[in-house]
Formats: sequence, structure tokens, C-alpha cells
Amino acid sequence: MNEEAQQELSSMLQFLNQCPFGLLKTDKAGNILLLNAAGSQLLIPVSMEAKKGLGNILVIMDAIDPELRPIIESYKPEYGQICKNRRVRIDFQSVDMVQYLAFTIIRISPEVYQYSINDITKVVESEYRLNEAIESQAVQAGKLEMSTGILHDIGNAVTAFGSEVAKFSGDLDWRELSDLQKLISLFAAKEQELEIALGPGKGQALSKFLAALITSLSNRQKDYQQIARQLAETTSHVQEILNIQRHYAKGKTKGERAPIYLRNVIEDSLAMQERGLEKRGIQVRKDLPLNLPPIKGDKTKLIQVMINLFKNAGEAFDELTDERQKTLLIRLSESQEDKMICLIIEDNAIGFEEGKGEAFFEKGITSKDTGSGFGLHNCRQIIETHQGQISLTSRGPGLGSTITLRLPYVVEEPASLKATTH
Amino acid sequence: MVNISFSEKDIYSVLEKASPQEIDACDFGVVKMDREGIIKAYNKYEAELASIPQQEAIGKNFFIQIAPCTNNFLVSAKYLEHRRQRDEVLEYVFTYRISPTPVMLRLLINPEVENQYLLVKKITE
Repeated sequence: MNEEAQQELSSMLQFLNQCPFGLLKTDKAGNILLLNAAGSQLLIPVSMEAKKGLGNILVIMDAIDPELRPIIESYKPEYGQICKNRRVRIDFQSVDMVQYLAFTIIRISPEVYQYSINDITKVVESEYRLNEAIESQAVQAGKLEMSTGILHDIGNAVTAFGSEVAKFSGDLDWRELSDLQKLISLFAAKEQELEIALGPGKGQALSKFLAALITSLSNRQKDYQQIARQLAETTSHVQEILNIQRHYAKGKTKGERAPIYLRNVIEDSLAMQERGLEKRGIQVRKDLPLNLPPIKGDKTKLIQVMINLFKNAGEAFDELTDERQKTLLIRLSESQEDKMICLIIEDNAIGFEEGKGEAFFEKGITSKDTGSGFGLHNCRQIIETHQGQISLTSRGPGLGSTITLRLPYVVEEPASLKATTH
Repeated sequence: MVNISFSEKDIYSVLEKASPQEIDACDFGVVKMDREGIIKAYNKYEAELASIPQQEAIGKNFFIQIAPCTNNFLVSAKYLEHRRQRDEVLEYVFTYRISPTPVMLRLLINPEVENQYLLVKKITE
């Protein structure tokens, strides 16, 4: 072979060997006649996993895709494409790895076949991730729709209940009591006649009995009025929470990032956690200035974070064995230096070993018997997608803990945004 | 002149001490690389087998530019993970002139040192 032909051959071989996908030429029986570098790179691990040599492609395929051989053998035309991008999954048990290869097989002539093999593992993994995300979004949207429906139904029931409570309150103006009072006054005016009619001492006794009866009924009326007031207050509180829930649930699946005031998000989430904190006897002290700039964020996600943090803070008091005054301090401030809004949630509850705070943000780590450990992990993910930071510290067991959350604020406040709006 | 055999027991130190002529005289391929797979020496046997001139191979990345067929978890990953010392023999198929060529590979990997070796012996029928 002359030098020019040699160079041409060398260039062609280099071209084939640098080809990013595997190329094989086989005979009808599957014996490999030609194989480029990528073909060898992809097929050697497969042949080893299948415990077959790299001599015959059909023998290897029998181990990883048994349905392929009948397809090839039943292909009648003398030339043509037998299959295109046939996806085959290979489980490498020895190294705990999964690979996806796409096979395109062409019959070049009755005796010659060409295989091209592509490693599509990354593409398939991306597809799986995308499908999971779509599925999760669909589930989320379904849950949201369901919860909106439930909130609507509960809202209707609560409104009806509220009307009944109002009606009940209105009915507590017992006219019979004033009639009874008039009767007592009549008996008092006609005491002598009553004594004559009923006998000595009996008229006076009847008056006393009626007086006692009216006192008892008045007391019962006051009790009922008190209960009615409490029912009205509770109903109003439930309606308020439902309104907040409806506000956050309303079509917020796209993760909209609008300017919002963290103060409002905190107040709303506290309203939803109020009963839990009250029940535990926790005194909540707030320092939430009105004049702080807004942040840009997804309020549905942020309220999830806040609810989680306040719920955790409340539950941290459950393990206390002493009778200390339970206090939760919530403080918002602004750091103009790095343009951040800083939220500090400080409790004087059970705390934990100094320096162990970071561990609670790991997936699956929790200090609670019933906790999943997803709470703080998810909180951090949400905060980090808002370019913020969150940390948890404690000075030691029994010495309480502090959550510090920092989120960048919007530098120029939009004119349309009012401090009291959501 | 020392005769070096493919199955030599302490072959790493033998190769480290061998002269370029002695490495060229081996009846198997010798590829000397740095920790990233950049070829520092490529002996005559391997150059002839692969039809790649020795000087052309020096300075190239063995796993990507010279023998892409080794760029997988069985070969290149073991060199590039820099985890543990290995002296491993492996049956493989090289694609010299795109013809499947069964070879025996000996992987000499030591993350503690700079020079790494890959030895290639053609399996004859």
C-alpha cells in the first residue's frame, strides 16, 4: 500500500475509532467481523456481565434482550432497517449500575448486518426525572384541587354553623324571664292577698321560690350567652383560617415569585398554629416591624416553611419536664449591608447539643419519635431556591434553640404594593 | 539488557528501572501514563499493533484519544478514581484496525505515585 493510501486508511480508522457511538459489522450468524472503539467500550462490560465472550453479538443479546434474536431472524427483506433505537436496559450487578443502550440494526445484504449502539443512560435518566416531576406536579395539582374543594365545603358548613350560632345567640333573650319578673313584682304587691289565698307563710314562700327560680334561670341564660359568644368567636377564627388557607391554595402550583411581605406570611402561619401554641401555654412575643421591604418569593412555599418552623418550635416544648415559662420569640429585621430580611425564631424549649444543628437539615434526620425528618430538609430546599439561608443552633440541651432565616429583599419597593396586603 | 515478561511478579519496579530500549524490546505493549491518562511512553510493540507511531501517541490521553475502547468502568475508571493500588489482569477486546482483537490487559495502578502502566498482550489462537 502506498503512503497516500496508508494515510487515508489511517485517517479513516481514526475517524471510526473516535466515532461517539458503537459500530459493528456481523455476519448472518452474529459473528463480529468489524468493531470500532466505542463498540468495544460499550459491549465488553455487557459481554462480561452476561458471561459471554465478545465474539458473537446475538449470543450477548440473548442474555440482555432475548426478544431481539427472533426479530432479526424473522426479518425477510434482503436489506433494510430491522430496528431503530431499540432500548435495552443492562443491570451491572457487580458494580450496582444500570446502563441503557439503544440498538439500531440494519441488514446491509443477506449475509451482512450492521449494528449501531448508543449509550442513552443519561437521556433515559433525564426522562425518568422529568416524568417523576410531571407526576409529582400532577399529584400536587390534584391535591390542591381536592384541598380547595374540601376548604370550600368546610367553609360552607362553617358558614351554616355560624348562622345557627347567631340564631342561637339571638334566641337567648328569654322574654319569659321578664314575664316571670313581672309575676314576682305582682306577687310582692299582692303579698297579703296571696297569704290569705294560700295560707299563712305560703305566699311569701312562693315569692321566694319564684325569686330563686329567676336567679337560676338568669344564671343559666348568662352561661348560654357565654357559650354562644365562645362558639361565635371560634367559628369566626375557623373562618379566618379557612380564608387564609384558601388564599394560599388558590392556583399556586406554578411557584410564582411575587413581592411579598414576610411579616404577613408569618402572621398568617401563626394564626394557623395559634391553637397549638396556646394549648401548650407558650407565650408568643413578636417583633415584626411594618416598614421592612418585601422579598420576592412563592408565598405558598414560604408559608409551608413558616408553619413547619412554628410547629417544630411548639413541639420542642413537649419534652420539657420542668415548669418554666414557655416563650417563643419571633423577630424580623433588615440587614441593609447585604440586603437581607432576617427572621429569628427563638424558643426556650428542649434545645440540643451545641454544634448538632446542621444534622437536622439532612433528609431523614429528626429529633421526634413521630417525625419523618423531611420538614427541615424541605424548608432548607425551599429557602435555598429563594437564594436564602436557614440555620438552626442551640447552646445545649435544655437551653432552647434558635432558627435564623435570611432572605434577600426586593431593593426597590413596587409602588402598587401596600404593607398590609398579601 | 533485561528481558521483561508480561507476567513478571514485581513488574512495576522492573518497568520503572528499565531503559526505553528495554521497554521497546518487550513482546507485549507497554503504555506509561500519568495519573490522568496522559501517555508518557508508548512502546514499539503497542505502536505496531495499533498502527500509531510512538511519537504521535506521546502527550495524548490514552483513554480518549488513543484507545477509546478502554474508556469505561472496567479500565479507565479504575485509573482515574485514584482510590486504590491494583495489579489486575483482564481479558479484553481491542479494535486494532477496527478488527476485534482479543488481548490480555494488565492494569498497574498506584494512586500514590505519578507513573501508571497498562500492559497489553495479544492473545494468539
